[in-house]
Amino acid sequence: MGIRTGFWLRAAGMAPCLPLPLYLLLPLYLLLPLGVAPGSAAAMATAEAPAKIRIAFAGDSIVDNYWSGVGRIVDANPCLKNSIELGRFARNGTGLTRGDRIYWPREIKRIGDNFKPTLSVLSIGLNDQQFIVDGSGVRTAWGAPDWTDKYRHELDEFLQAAVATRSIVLMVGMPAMRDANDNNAINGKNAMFEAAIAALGDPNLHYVEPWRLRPAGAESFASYGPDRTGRLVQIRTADGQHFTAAGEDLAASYLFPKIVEALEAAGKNLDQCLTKQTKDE
Amino acid sequence: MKHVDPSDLKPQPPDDPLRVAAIVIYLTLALLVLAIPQSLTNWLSDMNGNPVQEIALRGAGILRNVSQRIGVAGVYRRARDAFIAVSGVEPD
Amino acid sequence: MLFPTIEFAVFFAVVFPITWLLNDHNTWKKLFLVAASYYFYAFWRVDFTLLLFASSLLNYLAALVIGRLQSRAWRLAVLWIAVAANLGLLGYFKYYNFFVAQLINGFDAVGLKVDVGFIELPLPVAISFFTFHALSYIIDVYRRALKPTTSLLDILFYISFFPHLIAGPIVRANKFLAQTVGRRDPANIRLGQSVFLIIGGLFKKVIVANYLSTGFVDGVFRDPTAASSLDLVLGMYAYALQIYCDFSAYTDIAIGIANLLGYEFPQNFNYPYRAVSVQDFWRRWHMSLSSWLRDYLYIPLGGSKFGTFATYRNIMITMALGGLWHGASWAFLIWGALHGAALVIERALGLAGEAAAKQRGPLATAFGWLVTLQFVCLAWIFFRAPSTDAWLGYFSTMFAGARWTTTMTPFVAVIFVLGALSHVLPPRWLEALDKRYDRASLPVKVAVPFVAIYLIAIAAPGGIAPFIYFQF
Repeated sequence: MGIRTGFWLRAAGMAPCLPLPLYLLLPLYLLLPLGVAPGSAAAMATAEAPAKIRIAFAGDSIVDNYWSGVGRIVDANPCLKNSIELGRFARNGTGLTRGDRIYWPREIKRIGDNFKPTLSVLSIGLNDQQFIVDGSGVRTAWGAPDWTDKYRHELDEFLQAAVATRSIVLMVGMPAMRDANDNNAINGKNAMFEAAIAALGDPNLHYVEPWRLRPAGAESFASYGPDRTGRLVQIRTADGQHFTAAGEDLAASYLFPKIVEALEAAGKNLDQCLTKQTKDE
Repeated sequence: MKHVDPSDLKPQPPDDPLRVAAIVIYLTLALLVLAIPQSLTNWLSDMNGNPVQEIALRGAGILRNVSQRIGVAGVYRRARDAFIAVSGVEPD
Repeated sequence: MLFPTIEFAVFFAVVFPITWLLNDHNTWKKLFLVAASYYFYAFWRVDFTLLLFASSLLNYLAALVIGRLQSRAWRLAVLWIAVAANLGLLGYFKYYNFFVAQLINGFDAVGLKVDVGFIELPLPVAISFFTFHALSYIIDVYRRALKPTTSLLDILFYISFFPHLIAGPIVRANKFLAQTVGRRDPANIRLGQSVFLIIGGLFKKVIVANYLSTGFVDGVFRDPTAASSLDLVLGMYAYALQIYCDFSAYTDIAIGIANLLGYEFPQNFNYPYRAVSVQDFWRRWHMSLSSWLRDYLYIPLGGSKFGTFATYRNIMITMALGGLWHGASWAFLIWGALHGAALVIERALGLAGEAAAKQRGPLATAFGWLVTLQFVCLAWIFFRAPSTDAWLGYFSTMFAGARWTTTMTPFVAVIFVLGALSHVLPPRWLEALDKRYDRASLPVKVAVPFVAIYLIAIAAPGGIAPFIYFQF
């Protein structure tokens, strides 16, 4: 038992094999990165030429999965890499319900002002099975009769703020979840997203159906699925909500053509970078 | 005049380790709540509404007012802002 | 409930006084601590508390039966049934889908189709840890190294005690059950040590591990082929520091918390990146797991008793299964097998063991440290890379040596150095710090944790990621 008998001294007794001067090398060795001129991704991003197409990924943690997957598609193609800049603006554990924490309409405006996206990929709602605190601090209990109306109001504010950034906005529906309650909730929210976007009727605002493992038929959660080569691999993480790297690639190969299509419709053509095959991927 | 023989004095009992540990734990927590009152309010706000939470929130609100009045809450906010500015990490 | 959260602070603030108030009523105290531990576990999922209870009950009954049987063959039979039940439970939740996928892929490769369904159930948090706790108990009873306890409460307490429940350290039954008898002496509280273990753990997790992860490592591992070679080299070292700071933080806090409640846990880390050989590394890294694997897997396999080949085979099996214990993926298996191969090579070259270490001069020791550190850090790439493509891409891009620029910010570089300090500060300094703290006045004793946690809160990221080892 370490605690009783001088934990640190025991540790010292067990770790004497290396002469002391050599330990001095350890910090030097680990100080290596300080000697290298840092090129912060953020700093580099702001210094990029403005001609690049800027794609912002904003919302809860699911959007981080899309950012990762799309990032790999872009990184793998030097032409795309020179033409597109991705912005990662996921705020884990957030949603539209807690305006006292992250008030997403304001956050979206901040992203618009600072990053100036050409296109925004949004995904939100994963953490919203809870009470609502609106921008002015008024609480609405989870399960209260007016909860859905309040949520719809928060959603409208969020979508309007996204449109106000004057970027093309793709609101992506949430994929199937393992937990039945989560699944019911996200199905309801996806329907609400679609209806709200249709009601707003803004030509720059589009609802994107969630990625599905099976394009046809009833969709249910599956932690394993075929990758691009057809091998069965784990595609969803152990929490039953997020994607593994392989799942991110599947979701991104579904989402990326939608991004290309929306950009094309807005006159931002990426044809010079894409073969027919990569375009459809 | 009566002289006290030092040998008559009882040796000072060593600090009771449990008492000292309890004081350290609770005073540390109390000071943290006073110094960063928003943390407690935020945590309580995360709960779905119930009567206990209402009372606790009211208590936390009093603590926050005290902290603000003596200027402690502001110190944390300014230090946090300075850290964010220097480090470049995502703002709250 | 994560350690570095207000929930846990409130939970502990309630558990601490009640535990000590019940100190003279041991049964009530244990009942209370079991209830508190189940409440702690229920924060993740309420229904899995039943699984935790069922596992404890099964092993309690199995140990009682094994303890009563005189025939060695019958004892062994009951042990095998209990081990199979424990591993069956672990396998069902943790490995079933992985093996089904390999089965289907394997048949598919030879043109055959098999139809086996997957199960869509969440992995119970801590299942690997509580299964290993339970196994250590029944195997020790079988070996007659421990008498089976007739108290179900003691077993419930041993397996579920909340400081070690989620991510260890793996406490041996004989060490823990001895502590469940009678009242605990408050004089055993080492306040200075516990305070510094908790503060140090919070710093390592909240500041070092979190910022290294979100500020650098995640980005590098997201798409290694797009990163520069220098970023990949730095990413490898940064992840090595991240996983050490993350995991050792958890067990440091667990040890500190348990000590404040009057219980003692074994040391789990001992400057692992100072190791001068891979064998030395495993005596310093996750020490409670490596000693568990040695005592309950390597030695039952025959250890080093049956010749060179059998020894090498036993090492490889132990390390490969040790790798697989971390998760159902080829990468973990490869990681474990690589460590096994390194241990075998060290043995074959006569570099393993105390005698070989003593014969080494300073230069050879330094060389051993350098090689071991590089090996361990390279092997971590398998542990972290999300897919086969990712680690293949990582190695090919890193060793291609193209582009020597870095995206590491000065802030992350500072965090990197602060994390490295955890391996540079001499242990005697920390020991002296503990002693000075214990001698300090009460105001100083309060000021130290307050100021430290206050500073950590100022520099903490917005959200705290779960500990890496929670998924195991």
